[in-house]
Amino acid sequence: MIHADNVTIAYPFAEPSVESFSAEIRTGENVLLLGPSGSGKSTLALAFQGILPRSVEAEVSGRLNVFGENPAAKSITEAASQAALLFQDPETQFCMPTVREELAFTLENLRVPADDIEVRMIEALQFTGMLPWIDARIDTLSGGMKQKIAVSCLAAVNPEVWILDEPLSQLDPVSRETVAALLGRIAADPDKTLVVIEHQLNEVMEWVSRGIILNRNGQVTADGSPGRIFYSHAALLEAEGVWLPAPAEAGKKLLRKTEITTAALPVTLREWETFAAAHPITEVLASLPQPKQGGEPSQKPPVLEVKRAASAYGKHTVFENVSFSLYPGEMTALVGANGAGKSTLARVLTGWEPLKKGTVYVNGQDIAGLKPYEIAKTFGIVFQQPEHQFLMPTVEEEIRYGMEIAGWCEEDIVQHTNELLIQFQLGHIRKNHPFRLSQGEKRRLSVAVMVTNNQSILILDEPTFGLDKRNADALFEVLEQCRRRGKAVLWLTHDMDLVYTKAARILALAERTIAYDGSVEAFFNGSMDLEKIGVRLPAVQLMRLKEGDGHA
Amino acid sequence: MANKRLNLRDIVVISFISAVLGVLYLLWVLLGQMVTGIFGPVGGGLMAGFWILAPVICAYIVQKPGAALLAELIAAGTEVMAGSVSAGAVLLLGFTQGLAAEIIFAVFFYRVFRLPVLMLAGMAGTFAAFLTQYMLYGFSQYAGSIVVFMLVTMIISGALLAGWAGKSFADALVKTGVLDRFALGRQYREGQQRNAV
Amino acid sequence: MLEELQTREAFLQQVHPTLKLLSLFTVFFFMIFIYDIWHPLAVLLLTVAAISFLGKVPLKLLLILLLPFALFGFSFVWLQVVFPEERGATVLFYVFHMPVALENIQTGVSLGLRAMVFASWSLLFVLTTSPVSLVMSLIQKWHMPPSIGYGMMAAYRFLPQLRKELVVIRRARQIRGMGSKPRMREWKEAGVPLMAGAVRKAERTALAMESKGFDGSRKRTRYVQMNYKKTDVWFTAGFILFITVVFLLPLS
Ligand SMILES: Nc1ncnc2c1ncn2[C@@H]1O[C@H](COP(=O)(O)OP(=O)(O)OP(=O)(O)O)[C@@H](O)[C@H]1O
Ligand SMILES: Nc1ncnc2c1ncn2[C@@H]1O[C@H](COP(=O)(O)OP(=O)(O)OP(=O)(O)O)[C@@H](O)[C@H]1O
Ligand SMILES: [Mg+2]
Ligand SMILES: [Mg+2]
Repeated sequence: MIHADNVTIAYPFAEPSVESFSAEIRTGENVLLLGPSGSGKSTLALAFQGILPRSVEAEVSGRLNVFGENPAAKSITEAASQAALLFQDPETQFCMPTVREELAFTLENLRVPADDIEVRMIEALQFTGMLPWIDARIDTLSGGMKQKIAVSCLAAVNPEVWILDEPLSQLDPVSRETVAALLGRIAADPDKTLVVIEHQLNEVMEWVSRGIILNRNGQVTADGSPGRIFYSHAALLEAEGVWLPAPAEAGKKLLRKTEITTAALPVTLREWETFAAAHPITEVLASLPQPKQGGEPSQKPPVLEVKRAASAYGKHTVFENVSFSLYPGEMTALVGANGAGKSTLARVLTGWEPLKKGTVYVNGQDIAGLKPYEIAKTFGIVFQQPEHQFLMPTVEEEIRYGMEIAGWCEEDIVQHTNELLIQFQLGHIRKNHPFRLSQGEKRRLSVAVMVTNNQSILILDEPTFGLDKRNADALFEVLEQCRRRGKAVLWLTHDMDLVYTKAARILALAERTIAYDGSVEAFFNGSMDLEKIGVRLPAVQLMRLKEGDGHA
Repeated sequence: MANKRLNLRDIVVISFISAVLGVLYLLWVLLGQMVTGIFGPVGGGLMAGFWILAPVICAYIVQKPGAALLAELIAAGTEVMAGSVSAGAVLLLGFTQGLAAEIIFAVFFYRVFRLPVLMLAGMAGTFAAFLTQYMLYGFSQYAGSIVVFMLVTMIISGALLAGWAGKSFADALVKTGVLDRFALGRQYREGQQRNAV
Repeated sequence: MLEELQTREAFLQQVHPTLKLLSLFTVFFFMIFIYDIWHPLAVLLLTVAAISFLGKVPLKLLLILLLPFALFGFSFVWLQVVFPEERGATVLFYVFHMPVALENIQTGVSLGLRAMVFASWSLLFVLTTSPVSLVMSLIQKWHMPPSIGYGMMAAYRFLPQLRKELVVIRRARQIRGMGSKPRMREWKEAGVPLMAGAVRKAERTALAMESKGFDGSRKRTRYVQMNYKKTDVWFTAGFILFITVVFLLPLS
């Protein structure tokens, strides 16, 4: 089906992004392509469909065959009907205003007879359960719905090879599960071949049968059954900063303590159950990450106080009756389903979106009475799109900027800048334009520029989206430092495993208001109706529960 | 350059840039109408160069035949789709302005995209706008002096607001790296590498 | 709101976009030979009536949209009075020793009304034609290359996002400024990231289009056929009648 022999891909003016990639993917296989950020996964996905080098300039050497032929040599239509591609960015998948027009566009391209288009369109939407939205404007749909429409487009084409570049990113836990299950149905079909790229592996592990691991230079370092390669290449994966599924991560820890040797790490909950049964329960429980303990209540006055706040777009109420406070030195996660209003709330807090009702106090002052630039003195905000915040032509100047404005002396600026460059691993690219950095580097820079000043509240909108494990760990180390220095940190996220281990307090937004405000442990252990909030238990918590059941 | 034909990517990128500019054109029209209403067509003339930004910027970035004309047509099309209340005039002007800028680039065989050529393209664009408006709005009924004065202000505006400002904007854009895969970006990268050596 | 108007169940909305476009340019063409007051006035009133009856567009909205053009139109009047090609003989009164002639006022009013006729026909087109159907008809009937047509659609889809993005960028920069007062230059500086984002989105969209099998060729099937219908015959007949009566029959 896909046959790659010594494929090397280099973009102009750059070192090769993929080096000597060789693999043979057979019909019906479900392959996970894994590697750190920038290892060339998306590049390979484009090459499998022939878009690269047909339309993306790059040097490709070696031999790449899909269905026995070089995809770049085929006609665009033929290549697209054999192998379809789901792109990394849900915002740029579509080119028409409504769902119906988008599907029609796809089918017209493939020259499906006009009379059959309607039928195939409806079938594809039924597959994802999106038929009621057939005439909706795509830009009014939530992130999860958009992703389902993207899957519908692939289903309408019905190709033999499905290439999925981070199909689950930006989805809330419930939607992740739904979309992953949809893809699982395709994976179960012996005639369909899946190549999936993901950072967060828990869901896809249910149906992935083989893993191919790329290292930072885009070379294949391991290829085989996921459980086996996670085991045999554990050290390398750790060094490369690749996320493992939670059971594998815990299994690795467990093995380190005991002398037992195995052939493979568990990758799904089911496998974890049998794996853990071979170990003493205390050891097993100790190998699982602990939820962070909520600190003792702060004695200081709150930096932020929200009282009965309500917000709406036109007639559509996003939330109402929202009240909570943030205290210095607190690490809080804001969770909720796609479209629950997390980003809106973040904007309301910073006085960006006007309040419909209620008040927000920053350091005791009503935010409605402050000018935007005065509010900015109190808030550091990291947006979903880091590029929006960059002002200067080099990384170094970008970091210096805040300190210069604050009027620091040159000596301090130089010293502090160098510290930050090292801390955020940005030293080697200090002279580059911020826009030219990789996604992970941009994210780190955007945080670095926010922690340079003495704003007392730090708000981050999905800070770990698209980051590999090493970058995410580095990021949280810095956030933790900020917290210790007395800042209140609030981050918006869909990643429950991260919430479980990094946050001390959870705010959950559901059914138009704050549905939960309290400690992490009580949130996941308690009687909270998580389904209603649109989240799931973190995998580690499920593993803990399984363990409890197993030994009971 | 081996391939001088516009490909799908060029067209889509030109569409996006021109669509953004088209929205700005619309805002500029409101401003322009106010200025024209108060100071007459001469005051408006000084603003005319802004409407030639799309062909100058896109041709400078892509450096292929047809880019200038296409850019201006799409900018005009965007104005119409976004609900411009003067759709007809906008489409006609879009065509003549884009064509005039295109002719200038063609005269230089699409090889030279230096500041003087870009300014010339801007001036050609405003000149075309002048001719079109002359026909549409009956300028023949006005005193020759004021018409000539208007022409002069429009041409100056074309050189500065379109040629010079357009170039400096594209030059700022190229530093961000998003144009690396277009002619302008490649030239910038090559220049950088030469400096580094 | 615009979208709601464009898709209303009314006569003008059913007319094929290419015919409306053609009629728009025809009116423009005939108008440039007109220098009297009555022709443009008649056309203006007829057009406004057509939009509001045949297009079911509220008259109030139409008048609001035409108001700025009245101001624009007025500039033609005073210009004509102050800088006429040829000063008329029938002097009505003096302003600061400058003679104001009836002929010049007439020409000015005519030119002003002409601008308003252009505006009203443009409104007729814009308020009753949806962008998708316009692009589809241009591709199917006027041989617009599909890559341009669909490229424009993709860019059009991106526009609502643009405004949000601009707000975000400005806000993000204010926060970076950390309490210093915003400067005028900010607007210009925000342009670069805005455009950089647009270029990047455009590139990704182009790849997505190609990945969906779009090769820009005309060889594609048509889910929606933009064919001429009975309404189009009526519209064409009505329009020819209108042109003949107003412009071609010599009115005395
Ligand atoms: N169009 C391009 N031009 C030049 N370099 C590119 C281009 N696209 C990607 N690169 C570079 O090639 C390398 C591989 O990028 P790619 O997008 O394939 O990584 P990835 O494995 O998908 O990473 P991520 O997990 O962050 O999505 C990176 O160093 C990147 O900077
Ligand atoms: N500018 C806007 N105009 C109108 N409605 C909006 C706007 N922005 C968001 N909404 C709507 O408000 C609701 C909340 O959106 P918001 O972006 O705050 O959700 P979110 O919780 O951040 O979701 P996600 O997890 O997908 O980022 C959604 O239903 C959304 O459709
Ligand atoms: Mg990628
Ligand atoms: Mg959000």
